Amino acid sequence: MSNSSFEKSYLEKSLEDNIQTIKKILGSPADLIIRKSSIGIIEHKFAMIYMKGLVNEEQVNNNILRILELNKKDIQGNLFDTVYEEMIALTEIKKSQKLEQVIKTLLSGDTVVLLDNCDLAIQLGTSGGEFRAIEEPQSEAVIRGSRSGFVENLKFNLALLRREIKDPNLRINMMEVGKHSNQKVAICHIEGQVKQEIVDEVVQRLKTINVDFAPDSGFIEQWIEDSNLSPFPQILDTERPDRVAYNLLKGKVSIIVEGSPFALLMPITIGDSLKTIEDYNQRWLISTLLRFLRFVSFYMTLFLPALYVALVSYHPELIPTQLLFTIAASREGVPFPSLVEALLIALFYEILQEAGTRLPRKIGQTIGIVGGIVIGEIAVQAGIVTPLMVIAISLTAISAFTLPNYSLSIGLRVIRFGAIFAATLLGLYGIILVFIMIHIHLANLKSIGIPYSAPFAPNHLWDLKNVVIRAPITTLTKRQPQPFLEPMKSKQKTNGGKGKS
Amino acid sequence: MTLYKEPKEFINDKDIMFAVASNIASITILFLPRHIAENTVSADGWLTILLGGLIAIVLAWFLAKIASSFPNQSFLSFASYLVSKPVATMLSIVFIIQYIAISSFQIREIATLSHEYLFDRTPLEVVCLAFILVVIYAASGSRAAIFRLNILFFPLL
Repeated sequence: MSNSSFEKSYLEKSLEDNIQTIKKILGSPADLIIRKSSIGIIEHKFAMIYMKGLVNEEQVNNNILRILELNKKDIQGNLFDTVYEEMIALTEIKKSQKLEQVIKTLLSGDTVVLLDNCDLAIQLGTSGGEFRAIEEPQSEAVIRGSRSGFVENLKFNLALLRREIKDPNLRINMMEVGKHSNQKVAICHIEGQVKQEIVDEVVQRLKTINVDFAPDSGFIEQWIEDSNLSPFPQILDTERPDRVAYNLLKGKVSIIVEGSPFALLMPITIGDSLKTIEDYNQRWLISTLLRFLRFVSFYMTLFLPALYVALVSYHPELIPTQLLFTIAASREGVPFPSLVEALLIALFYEILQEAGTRLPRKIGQTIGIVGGIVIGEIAVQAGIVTPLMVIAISLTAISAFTLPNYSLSIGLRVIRFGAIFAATLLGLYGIILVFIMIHIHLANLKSIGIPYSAPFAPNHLWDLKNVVIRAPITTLTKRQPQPFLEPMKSKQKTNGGKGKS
Repeated sequence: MTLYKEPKEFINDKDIMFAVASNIASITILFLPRHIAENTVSADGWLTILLGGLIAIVLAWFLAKIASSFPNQSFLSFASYLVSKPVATMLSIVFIIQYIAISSFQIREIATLSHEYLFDRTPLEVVCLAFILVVIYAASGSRAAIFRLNILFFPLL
């Protein structure tokens, strides 16, 4: 049955007709509950319609059905208005004449009350049912910080956000995506803290989305990102309400999608993917060191295996002599060139990681043992690979996990292979070229129109204090990268280069 | 995803500062001392740099003055306003040739350098080509991005 058949139609007067139409449109499924009854004393017929499992049944029974059935008042005047305004004990209440509207709310867990001889429906916000409880976020664990993470329910998520930001300027605009799933999408920003152009741009992009169903916010992310060829994520995903709140106050826009515990944050810069919210919870010296550590591991993830390949195959003179002897000795029995060796171990590792993610938790340990022993020890003993190569690849793997953003670290894992090939072809020179290319790419990349390499590249020296280091919290009071995110009032300050226009 | 409202990207004075500095320093730092030492005796070396530098500074100052009195215009458009269109075109062609010469010179220097230190058996052409490809990749992006790139690499000088 196509949607168009009831798109423009309205409810009828007769209760029985309306029930039949709704049943026909939905194909009278097993979970559609239609409870016919009559309002106490005056014996006026009504029907209560909802989807089982989507509603809070206790609410439906106590606050709607029982109140209407046990009515002891003789109702004078307009019956509908009395029921609508006085009788039903629920706060979220709407009336509608459109059939399409009625069906939509029914499917999203509202209860619809129809009265006989009345072409208006009462929609009651009763959505409830079973949901996952608020838990600690799995992908972004912190030692010190809030333990609550987003869940799949949009209402809960928005409530979590409201609990963090009790600001009257917090704006939540709702949109719908998904031709068949009709998922709600909330666009959150804080008025006065964000540039209006950024919000408009995000809304414009969201309007172009054309999917049947978005299983996760990742779908939305890929629709609205600036460049889909880039290995770098241009939109940040997070499970943490505190992180969303912090970023909203720093002038960003957040998108929360129904059914996904991952909120999206935009626009971001490369530095944002290297921050965790815990950086702000620990004291600044520690956090600064950790930031340095992440920058180091960022480059290690990219270049360590490549560097090893380049040094071993092209520039052995750059390795300290004693180490060189050890390497030469261990490479003696290995039949492959260092490229094959590097690719082999990297491939082993990727397989291990993918298997580790997909395996049921109970078998997970097996992978650890098999991976650790087979690849770590036996492969070396069997003379397939050198121990140093195993060290290089496993260091890379571990440093990839120090990056707080998973999308970023898997992106880097892809580039790593490119770097290994470049190192095989041109040695250190190849690595330099790859290094330059990555930076060219970063300089060209944008996130919702904001340069991705800020504040490094449109250089704002003082903004680096919250990117490279984490300066004492007392000095971090501005948004950054400042000229891009600071809203209108300070715009005039940053028109350098444009003359006095 | 393309932007709905392509924001105008301005190159501000700080960007230009970084760009000019890295253009002057760049690879020149590595080979200038040798070139000068080869052709001069004793104090002549620093005099050459000083005089040459002064001339360049004066010319650059003039150029900057002219350019800054025509904000948001390309060289071709304000040059054809000052000296008729054909002359401006000629000047642009001269500039193009000059930049091609400069970049080929620089790439050649880089290639020689890596040839000297890193690989002595790889043909120069391969090294040059690899670098040119990377430069093309940089040039294929937006203009503002090239300036951003200059800033990104400035600390590495």
